[in-house]
Amino acid sequence: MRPNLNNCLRPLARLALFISALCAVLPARAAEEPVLNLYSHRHYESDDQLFEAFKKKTGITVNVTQATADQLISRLRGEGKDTAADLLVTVDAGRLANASSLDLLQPVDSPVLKEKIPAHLRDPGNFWFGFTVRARVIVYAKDRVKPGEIKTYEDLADPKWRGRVLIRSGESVYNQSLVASLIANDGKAKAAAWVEAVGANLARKPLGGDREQVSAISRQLGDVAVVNSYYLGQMSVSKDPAEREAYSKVSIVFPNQENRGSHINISGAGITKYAKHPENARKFLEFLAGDEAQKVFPVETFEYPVNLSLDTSELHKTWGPFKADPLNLGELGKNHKAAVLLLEEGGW
Amino acid sequence: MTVPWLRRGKGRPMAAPKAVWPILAVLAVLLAIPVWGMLPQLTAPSEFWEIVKLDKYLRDTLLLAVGTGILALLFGVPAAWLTSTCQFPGHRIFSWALVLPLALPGYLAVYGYHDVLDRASPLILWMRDNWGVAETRDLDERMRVVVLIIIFSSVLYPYIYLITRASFRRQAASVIEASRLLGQGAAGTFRRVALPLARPAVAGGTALVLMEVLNDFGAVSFFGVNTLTRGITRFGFDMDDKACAVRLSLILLGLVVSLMVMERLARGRARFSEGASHRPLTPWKLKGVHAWLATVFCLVPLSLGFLVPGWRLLELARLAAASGMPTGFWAAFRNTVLLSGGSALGITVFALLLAQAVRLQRGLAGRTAARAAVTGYGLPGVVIALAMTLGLIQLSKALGIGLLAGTLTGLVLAYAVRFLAVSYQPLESGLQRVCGSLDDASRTLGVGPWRTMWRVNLPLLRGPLAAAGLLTFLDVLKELPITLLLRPAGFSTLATRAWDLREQNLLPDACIPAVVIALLGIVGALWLHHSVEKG
Repeated sequence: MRPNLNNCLRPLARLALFISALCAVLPARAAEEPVLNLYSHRHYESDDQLFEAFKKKTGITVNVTQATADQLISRLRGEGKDTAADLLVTVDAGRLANASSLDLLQPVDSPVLKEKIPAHLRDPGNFWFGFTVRARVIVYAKDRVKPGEIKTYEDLADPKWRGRVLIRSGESVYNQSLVASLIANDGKAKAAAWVEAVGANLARKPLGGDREQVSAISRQLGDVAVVNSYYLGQMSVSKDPAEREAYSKVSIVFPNQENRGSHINISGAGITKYAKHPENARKFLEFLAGDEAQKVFPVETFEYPVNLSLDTSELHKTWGPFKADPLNLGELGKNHKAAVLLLEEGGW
Repeated sequence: MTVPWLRRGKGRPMAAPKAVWPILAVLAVLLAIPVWGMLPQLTAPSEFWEIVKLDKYLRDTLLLAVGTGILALLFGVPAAWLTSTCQFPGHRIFSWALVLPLALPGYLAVYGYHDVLDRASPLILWMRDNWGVAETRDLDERMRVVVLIIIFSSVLYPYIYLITRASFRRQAASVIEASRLLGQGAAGTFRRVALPLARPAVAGGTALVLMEVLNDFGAVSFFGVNTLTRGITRFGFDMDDKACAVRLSLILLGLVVSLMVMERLARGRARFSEGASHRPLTPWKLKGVHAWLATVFCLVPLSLGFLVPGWRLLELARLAAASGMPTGFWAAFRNTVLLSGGSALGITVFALLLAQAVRLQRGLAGRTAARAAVTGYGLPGVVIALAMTLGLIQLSKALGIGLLAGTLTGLVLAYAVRFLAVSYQPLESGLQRVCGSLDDASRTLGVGPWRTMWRVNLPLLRGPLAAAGLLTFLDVLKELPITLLLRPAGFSTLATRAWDLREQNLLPDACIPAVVIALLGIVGALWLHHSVEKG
């Protein structure tokens, strides 16, 4: 007996109808709820406290999808207007600028945000805002390197550091933005030479994150390492005694103090173009920029607040003030692809 | 009287009931989604293809696969031989304990070895002083691959162990007895008789091990080893160059296919069938040094693959649990149970319908479906994640419905592509073995095929159904890359929690979900052992 086409297709059609009905219903129900969906590259436990505080204040529940910013951006592009994300949170301004140039964000006009956040830490078009600052610093082994022996990022390329430099992989956005800033400040040719020279100076092929580089210094695998400032803070109070000891064996250098200043970056966020809860997202941004949250960051995650007068971190005081590279952080996005290509070419 | 659809041999092809077609159609649609996603990318321009260091990805992938294959053979085959034919201290315990490493997926086993490279620092310093900076840097990079080879082979050798042991105990049993009667010792019998006979089993087990190596994404990331799966996530998801990732995926699929071909060749004409002999072998009683050597030979892979990493995971988890459960643990636990349970239920029900449909439709369509149903298991998780992301976007557009990628529906569909084989195979063989001609009898008495399935087959299939459901449940539970890349917003499972917490530098906390996964994995490993032993 020959199959009847109608009979084959009917169950399929029913299934399709069911699925589409399901998809149509789900977002509609979500809109009624006081929720906020983050696509976030931030990965700090203490952020949960902030979400709790925010919920207490506004009744809005924060849901987090965590992945690297690039993966989240790729996901946002695929999802288009069906995305569940309201807010894209990154740990790098370049990624936000990239998301903005891909038309994934929407501007928000908030006097509060403009007042609280300095202009160079937010997008001129109001597509994204920084709420914490981190410096990419150099640390050196107290017992093997003399103070003043290394002062700039450019010094890392000096042949005297051959086999002594520790840095995480160029696949990390932190290094990509550092190279992007070198391209912006020194030009592409010099940045390319820097990537190659640092590659030759490496003590080992990159392994692990920033903390692992500091730990490697304490095991004498290398003498200088590049690391984000807040990781040092977290290591100083780590549950793991080996990390505390590793921290105690290094000194911190804010690079390029005699010229442009240290490379800084932000953790920031922008409201997605197709956010289902843009109002909740705006409230959350204002909450992050507000004094309560700003006071929490320096003590909990050891990030610098955007409003430095609220910095109550004892640790930051011991490190002292530093001069930051005034480069507009949006510039990092423009040079990002070139930086990725240089690092891939450099092989680390 | 013969029932037309049961008539075998020559004659008119058997007509299947109409209801078979929608089931086969659903399978076709399901498998078409990933293909549909990949196809347009084949001709699309790739932004980064030029800079992909293909030699690097291929070198690490092949080194890892070949090394793991060899070492896993050295772990698995002797252990299988010793526990099935010899008596030595602990042989009874080893016979089941040796499967325990299956409980630890590679990406969690590495947590137990998180500091192994740190401990090698003095060695690296020594090499640098004696051999030079650049040379040490290269050696250090190779060393990471070697460490990973050791870890992989010690968690994956049970695939070889299980199948080879079954082969020794059943197929080869009578021949082994004969060889023994003719005066061959244990070593001679192993080399001249048992090993050649077990070749198809060994080849099958090794193929499974290599498949898992090619599939891994978590463990290689942990040790910074650049395999193709990392290249695919890096270019496909980090740099959003899908065309580039699809090209890398095709290369990886090429490796999987050549692996399957090699397995066929190694197997030759021989087949790994379940032989009839269930007569227990008379064991060789090992004495003195030999006996203790046998114990050591079994203890080494068991320790490396389970006892050491398992113990260290437990220690770290206990340390973390002292300051409370990590945030989101219970939500992840609930999500995992519901998601794995729901997926296992859905996939098993579909697999049952499919197995019955294939049984009823004995034509080309049925045979093709039976083959297609099991292909997904050979596809690495990241490739499925990539293809399903692309395919679901296409499907949603075509149907004009909301986006399926990043929803639970999409996630379950991706699991179905990958794990259909896991529940299909026990059901297919169960239908063949358990039900045999019983449903023929039922049909002869005038009962329809689906009613027969419900009334006759289903009660008889309790065992295979439980196996199918449980194995699918456990596979979904420990799955990492698909879940990581396709999960809905804000959704965590135990596996993704174990990954996320580690990314947050909270390794001890990450060990809590890891331990839960491992405990459930132990149940699965022992069940697998039990069902293979029983036949």
